[in-house]
Amino acid sequence: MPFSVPEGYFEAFKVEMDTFEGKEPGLFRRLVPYMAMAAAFLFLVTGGTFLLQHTVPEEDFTQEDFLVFSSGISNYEYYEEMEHIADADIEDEDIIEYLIYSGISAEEIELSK
Amino acid sequence: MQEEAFRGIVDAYTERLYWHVRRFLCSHEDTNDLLQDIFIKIWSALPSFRGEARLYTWIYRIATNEVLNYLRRQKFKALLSLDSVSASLERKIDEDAGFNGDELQRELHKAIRRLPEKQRIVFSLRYFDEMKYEDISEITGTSVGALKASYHHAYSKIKNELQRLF
Repeated sequence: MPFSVPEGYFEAFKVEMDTFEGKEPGLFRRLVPYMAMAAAFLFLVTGGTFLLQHTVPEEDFTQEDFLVFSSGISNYEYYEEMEHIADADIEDEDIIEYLIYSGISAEEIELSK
Repeated sequence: MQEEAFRGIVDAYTERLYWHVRRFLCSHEDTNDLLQDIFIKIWSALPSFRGEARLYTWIYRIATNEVLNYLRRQKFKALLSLDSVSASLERKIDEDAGFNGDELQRELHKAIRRLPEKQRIVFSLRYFDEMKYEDISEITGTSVGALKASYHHAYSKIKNELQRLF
């Protein structure tokens, strides 16, 4: 063969093979594949958690926000309307009057109480 | 018992396996590392050797599989570095301080490195180790007919390359 080997290499190699500990790969070497698998798993879990936390919006909106969103009206209009209703100071008599005006009989109103 | 058998294998096969591996890997350091791995594999597999195959083809089978796994890992690394394995192995021949052959031998080994994997193995085992096709068939798990065809292709390619150069 047109390749050379260091002087006394084969003899030294045979001695090394004769004496190497337990003739099995070291503990670290045997654990390397398992460590690699554990590292990959850890990377996937950490990366996945990080991505979820930074890409999915937090659900901290209120029921009012939802109503505003689904009705299509602006926040300003919604709150203005709410204030108007609160300021209106509507009494029970006003409601009964409104219902009678809408065609509901007094008996029906009495029954629903 | 196992230790004794292992010692016998190390004594009988160290040099043969070294040259078998070195023809594929070129560098002495890489060959030394892989040879250690091969003997560790042989030690681990020794209790399961049942004698269905002959010891010598069984050992060569382990060694050849280790060489192929090594070359596949190199191929994967080469994918990442955009450098082909055969180009890197050819470069290793040029850079190898332990190469003491003439120009024809240098080109022969470069041409072998350019062969496809299977042809390279068949050519190496047949041409350098002078193995019978039946033994190569046991080692590689390929039919004798397919091996003969592979060797013929490999031989023609190398011959053409060397004729072109010299």
